[in-house]
Amino acid sequence: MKVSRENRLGLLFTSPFLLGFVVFSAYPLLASLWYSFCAYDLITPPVFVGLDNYRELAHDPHFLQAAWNTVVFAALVVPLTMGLALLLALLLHLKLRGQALYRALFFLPSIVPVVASGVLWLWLFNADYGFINICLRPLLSALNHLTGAHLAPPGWINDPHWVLPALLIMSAWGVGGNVILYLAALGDVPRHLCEAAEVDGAGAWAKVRHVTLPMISPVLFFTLIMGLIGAFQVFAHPMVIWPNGGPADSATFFATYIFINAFVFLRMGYASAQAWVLFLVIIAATWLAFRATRRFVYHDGEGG
Amino acid sequence: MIRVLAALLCVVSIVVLLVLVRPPGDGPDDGRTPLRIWHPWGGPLLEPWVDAAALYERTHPDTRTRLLFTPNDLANSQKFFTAVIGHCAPEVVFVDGPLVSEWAERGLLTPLEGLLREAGVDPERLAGEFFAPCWKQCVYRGHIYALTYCADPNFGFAWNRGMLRRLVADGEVPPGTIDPERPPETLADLDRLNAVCTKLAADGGDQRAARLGLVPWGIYGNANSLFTWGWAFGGEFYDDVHQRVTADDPKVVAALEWMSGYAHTYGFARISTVAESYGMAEHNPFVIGRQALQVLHVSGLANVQRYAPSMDIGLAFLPQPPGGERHSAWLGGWTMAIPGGTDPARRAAALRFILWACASQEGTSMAVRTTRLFPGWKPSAYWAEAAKFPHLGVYVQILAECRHQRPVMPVQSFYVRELHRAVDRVLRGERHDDGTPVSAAEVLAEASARTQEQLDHVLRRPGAGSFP
Repeated sequence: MKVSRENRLGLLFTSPFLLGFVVFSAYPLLASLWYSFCAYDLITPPVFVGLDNYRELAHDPHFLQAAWNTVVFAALVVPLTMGLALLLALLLHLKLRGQALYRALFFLPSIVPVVASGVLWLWLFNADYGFINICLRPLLSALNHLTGAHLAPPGWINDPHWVLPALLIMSAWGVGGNVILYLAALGDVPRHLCEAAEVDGAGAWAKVRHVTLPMISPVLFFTLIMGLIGAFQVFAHPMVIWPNGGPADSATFFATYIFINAFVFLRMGYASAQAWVLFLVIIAATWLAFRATRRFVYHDGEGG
Repeated sequence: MIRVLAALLCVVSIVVLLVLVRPPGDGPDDGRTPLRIWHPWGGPLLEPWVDAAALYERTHPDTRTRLLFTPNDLANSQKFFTAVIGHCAPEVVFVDGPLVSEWAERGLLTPLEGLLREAGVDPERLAGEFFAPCWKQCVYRGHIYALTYCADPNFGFAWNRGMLRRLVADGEVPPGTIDPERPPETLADLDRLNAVCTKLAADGGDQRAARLGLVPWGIYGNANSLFTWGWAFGGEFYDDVHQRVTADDPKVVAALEWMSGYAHTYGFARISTVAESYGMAEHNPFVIGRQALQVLHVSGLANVQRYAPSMDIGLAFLPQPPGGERHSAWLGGWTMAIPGGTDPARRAAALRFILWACASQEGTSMAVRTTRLFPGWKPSAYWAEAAKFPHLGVYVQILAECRHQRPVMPVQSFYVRELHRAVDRVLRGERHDDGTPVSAAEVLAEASARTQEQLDHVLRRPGAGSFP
């Protein structure tokens, strides 16, 4: 087969990427699939063990707990962060004095390094001296006084029931990235459609529902998919705040358990099996999201 | 023309890439043997360590040291593994004591006995010069893989003498109930003292403890707490002769039951709320005078002296549980080793440096003087010096009587994690589906079984024990 000069040049210029992809993405991906069928400690040569790692996964209570925690977290954090980001974007889209300042303020948390923000939240959530509980204590005290209840400020870090809410709050704090995407999309909503809706008597909510949301639906869909993938890979905050997996394993997630197995217990084979399960779960969740939302996404180029 | 430019671009890219990924060099070739040393000493501990290396260069002009700070975290373990596999490991590396066996099992460290003999050092004589646990943690499958650089005597029992005196003076404690001048000698004494020190003043719904006695699980993590009390109760965690994990030893179970007794009597949540600030030296409940009794690491003593210099504390050995060990203590700390695959031509120089830092008068005194870390080498002149510092003398005694080190086994990290979980489950009062609480015996049996399974996997895998 004759390869044209243009194609050869094209391949030449893309070769750095192709080389990088093969060495740093394709090879590790395939190698991890092979390792998932091996006992491998990172250092000595892998030994084939068949499906042993996958069998062990099915009976590992910590893995099952991690899987459950991850699914619950993903189910809650994606709608929460998308909803909050959309709400903020709609508010920040209003023509207000100091609009740029507000936008910058809401975006700021998303550029704070995740480890730094983890340490910051560790302080804020401290049950004894943390700013959040310092604020809650007099409120709850007054409430208890009035109602005779015995409400206490939460043990955000040490109480397994409060670990998930704490993580959700941290995630909600970092929605600035999505807000920027939604703001850009809102800026692209054709003004004439809004005006036509107004002429037809649409109120603010009707305009949002029937004009704005359909028009920004491709961006919403993009953030849904990226949010889902990110949620299933949640790692940094749990690892910084609860390096031992949290109270009653409540802060053990897919990615943290994979990391611990690979680099603490030196069980790379077992960790690879977990990584492949996570990969399949993410594919399944993404496919479901595609199926469920496809008919709600409006693509202008395809004529809707 | 385009082809020439494209080819040139590719060549330049490859050269840049190669330069960027080139392993760190040895520096100028001045005839001295270069020693690359990966060490974990940052912050205030860095300067003394740099001074020690400079002193070594002055007294050993044939060697040039090159220090690289590699903090004690998992990312650096990965870098170390990669360096060994990639044949560009440093000549000397610091290894956390419990990891020596774990790394040696996988060929990451070089056995030292042959090098010691070549250097004219009799390994048996050297063994006698180290505190026994310091030596034991470095020996795996009959080979010496490291030498102990610093020995942490775990732990001292500290009590806030000033606070106890005030409790007596203010009439909060009936006269004659406690003696602020003397430490509790038995566990029963400790329980009584703890009861009068703990004050659970709940204001409305605020469940914080106003004042604490002791937090038995607040000893640098759940697993370290269980090691501390498990050995104090007379238990054992590992039978190294038969390679059996023994966390379900009845005496370890008794230790965990005693720990959980505090959680259930005083309320786990209440105590944990206060104990949450342990990691922050300046907010540590013991340092700020909110906790009367503390099992204290030698570095904790430095924090007390730094953040609460006027605090009047007493220090002693741990109280003795019934039928348990008197003056129970165990050893932690850092060792120094030569990585596997190091250039054989530099091994002798690496060993000479390790011997200087771990087992010479000059090295042990110089490196540890300003850091207040203890050497593991008994003949060090440092001991006479350390005993002069307030309270440090107690730690010297504790080290001298130290009988334990964490189990020398190749799945140490897994074991520690399992113990952490076991303690967590019992302290929280986890229950079965039928509502009955899980017992200490159950969770420790589970931890033992799971760890044993991992241990068997590692010990029986093809090629196991093929190192050194």
